[in-house]
Amino acid sequence: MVEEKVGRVKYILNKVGEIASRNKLYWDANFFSVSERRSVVDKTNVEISRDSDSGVKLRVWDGEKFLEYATTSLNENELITQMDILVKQALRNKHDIKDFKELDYDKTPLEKDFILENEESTPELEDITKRLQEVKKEILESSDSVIESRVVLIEEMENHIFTNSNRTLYQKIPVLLFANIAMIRCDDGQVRMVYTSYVDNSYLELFSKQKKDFVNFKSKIDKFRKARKLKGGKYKVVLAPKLTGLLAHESFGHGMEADTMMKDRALASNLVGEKIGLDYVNIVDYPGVLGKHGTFFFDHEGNLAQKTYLVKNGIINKPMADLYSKTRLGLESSSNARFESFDHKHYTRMSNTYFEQGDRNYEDLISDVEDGIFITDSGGGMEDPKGWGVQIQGNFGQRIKNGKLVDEYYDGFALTGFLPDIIKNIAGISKEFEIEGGGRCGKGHKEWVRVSEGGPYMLINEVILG
Amino acid sequence: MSQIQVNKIEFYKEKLQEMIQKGALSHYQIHFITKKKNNVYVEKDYKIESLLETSRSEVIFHIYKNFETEIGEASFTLNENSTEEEFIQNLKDSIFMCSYGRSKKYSLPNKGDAIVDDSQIVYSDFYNEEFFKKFERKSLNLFVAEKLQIFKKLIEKSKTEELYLVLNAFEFHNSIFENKMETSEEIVKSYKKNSSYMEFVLTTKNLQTGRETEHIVYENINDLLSFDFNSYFRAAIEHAKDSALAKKSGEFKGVIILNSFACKDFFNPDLTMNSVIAHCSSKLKFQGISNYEKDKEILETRKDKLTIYSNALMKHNSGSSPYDEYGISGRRLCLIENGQFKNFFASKKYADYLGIEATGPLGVIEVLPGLKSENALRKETEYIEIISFSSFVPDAVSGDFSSEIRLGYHYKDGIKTPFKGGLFTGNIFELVKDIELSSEKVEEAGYVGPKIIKFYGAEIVGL
Repeated sequence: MVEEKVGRVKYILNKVGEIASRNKLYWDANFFSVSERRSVVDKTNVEISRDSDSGVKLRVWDGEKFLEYATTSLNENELITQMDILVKQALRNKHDIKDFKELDYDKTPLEKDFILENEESTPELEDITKRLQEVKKEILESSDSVIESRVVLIEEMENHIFTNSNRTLYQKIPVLLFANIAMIRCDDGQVRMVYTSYVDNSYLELFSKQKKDFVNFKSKIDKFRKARKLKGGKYKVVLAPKLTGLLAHESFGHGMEADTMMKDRALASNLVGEKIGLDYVNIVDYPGVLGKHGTFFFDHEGNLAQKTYLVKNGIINKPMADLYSKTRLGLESSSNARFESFDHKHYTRMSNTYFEQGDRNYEDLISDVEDGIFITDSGGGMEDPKGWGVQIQGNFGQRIKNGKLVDEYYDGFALTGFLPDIIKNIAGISKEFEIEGGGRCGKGHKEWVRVSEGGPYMLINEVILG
Repeated sequence: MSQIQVNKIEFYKEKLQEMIQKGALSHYQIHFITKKKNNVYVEKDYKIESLLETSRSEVIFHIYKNFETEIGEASFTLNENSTEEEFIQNLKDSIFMCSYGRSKKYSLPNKGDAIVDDSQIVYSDFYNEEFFKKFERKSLNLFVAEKLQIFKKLIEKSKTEELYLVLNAFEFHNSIFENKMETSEEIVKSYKKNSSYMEFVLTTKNLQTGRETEHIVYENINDLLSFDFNSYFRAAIEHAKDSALAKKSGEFKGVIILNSFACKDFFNPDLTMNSVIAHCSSKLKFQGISNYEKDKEILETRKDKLTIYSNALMKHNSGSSPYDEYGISGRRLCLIENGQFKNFFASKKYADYLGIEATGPLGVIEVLPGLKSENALRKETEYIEIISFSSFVPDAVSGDFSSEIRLGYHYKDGIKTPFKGGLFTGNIFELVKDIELSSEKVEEAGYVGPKIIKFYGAEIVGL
């Protein structure tokens, strides 16, 4: 987005907000634009598509609820008309509201632009497709079991402007995602998908990560080929970073979202301040980690990125919040108000959520296991903040016997259990730490926002796999 | 399309034609899309948190350029703010992208092609005129408020000395959608559609044990105005009450029955595809992943044989669509008949690659019912019935799945015991070898088929 357009949009949004300010109503406006170029190379085709989505969302607080209007139009008059409708409605409602609540938002004035950009130039499309073709060829030639290969590069650019009566903020965030995918015919006759993704905001870094890791991807293909079904039961496990990330996310991530707590839907709301794990268990949400899939500088309510300790030294600490739930529950602010797109509702959402590093070595964690599973890959998870159940499904793992990884692999199993038991059973966290790859997190089955996966390795004495 | 100015559209088409004449591109498709939403968000104590009204208007362009043995493809999206300069720049970029984004050659449909013919399609089947008339913030909010009142009364009535029930969250989304498409081959089509979505959470407190349990419901509603909210709310309340009494699941291997909600999830999961159906994809066949062969058994089955259609023309079902992105008309397509594979669903691209006919959009998954009644299928001394999953996400390719049970019942010697948790685990291809389908049917958004399905030798891993 060019500087001139940024200036113009800021001007329009502030102008639109004036009607609400004059009537002493809280208002905010978001301009949200995402453009994406997706290049996909498989055995036969090179597909390049470009998609973009942009629009404005206006909100006015009537003392009890938000009245919201969202549109793809950037027409100043149309937006003023719509804001006028919201303001009139809010003023009418105000008379009937018995329990009027002032919103507890940060009134510190701030005008700032946050631009995440690299010095490097964007590679030519010719070079990109050439590189993807090469990777595709390498995957196809890496094993006889590969029947199809797919290589994906997603180049996403997010432009976001937030305004209210105190703040005018702009952020520009590039996100690059590279994925290697192999469809393989396994020894048991089944076809399985092997997938690894890498995220960065620099092409050079991204390509270099993918290249360095290719030897691991090849070995992963071989391991998946040999995979079989795991017998369900209780197991001692070591989780790879992707899995610890998912565990943090599905457990104290969703479980510490204030909008869920506000609706009495999270068991954790009664347990803030309670000790639930050992001293070295720390779970954090931090959008400010640069170059990750969940990175941003400010959220959709204009809160600057801050680190929130959800669990600190084994104690349930502080929830993440959006403005509505923060006001209702009287919480401190955090930077977690997000929407999927401009025409979706704001909710409390995560960003980069992870366990902090521990003091053990990854090898030591493996060597502590007499008989167990090292879980390296997963298809995703589902939250259950009320029941404190955890479900992480579509997992892939390798057997550990007598402290060593052995040539036995298992695919398609889920990890489940009662969260306090799982947390209590954490027996070690590694120094090694990595946030790599990216996914989208839903609130239930919808409202997808980009988040990251990762953290340290982790030893857990007992979980249910099946 | 109303918000994209008519003169802009003419300008777009003129420029695209100009590029065709110059040989810079060979074909194009334009999709004009408008979508309006009216959503209500309610938190606990029936307190409204937010009222959201939205209006989206955009144009999606697909352009193609023929090369000797390949076809270049690219696409881009503009909205009502886009200027003519932005269109020109995007078009130039896309023509450039066509040089690199190349696929094996396939042909694009023409106006006169039989696969484009829509003379038999009733476009009014895809929307409810009354709903479009009602689509205004005030009247929809009133409608939702009325339904909430009904729900509130039912909830209050259901409270007992042992169980206390509350509604913790309620979302109601209503939308109308319009698509108009035009191609360089003079295919011009348009349709309207309406859809509604309801999501709510009921929490039950067992006043004797103090234990609280929540029951979450998601429902895509085909026709808001004829939807039986009363029965739906009553059923949800019963399930919520049973959740409060539910025990933890134990290990189980034997007969497992999925009821209507879980049946829909099994045959048409939200986030992925049932692998038996996914392997009917022309793309998976072309990639060498699907082994299905025409008129051959997909599996050696021991019980009921599956007959599955993709029905893109199912009346008033949100899973239906009259045409796909190329303008190829929807149809009722037999995928599997009596356990034998019949047809791949195919976009124009993969249809040409396999030398078959393109089939238009994938539609509602229609599974033909079996011969035995629900009562007959339930005649077992011990079995498990699954009402709902936390999230049923099978691997579409391998068929492996492992899914947490949100609510189920264990039946043994005539005693019905609710349970929660535990993982329903297995492989879809293996399970359907021993499947039985009820003669009773249900219709859900995206699924029409047996009310219950029964598996033998299925497994639950307990907590």
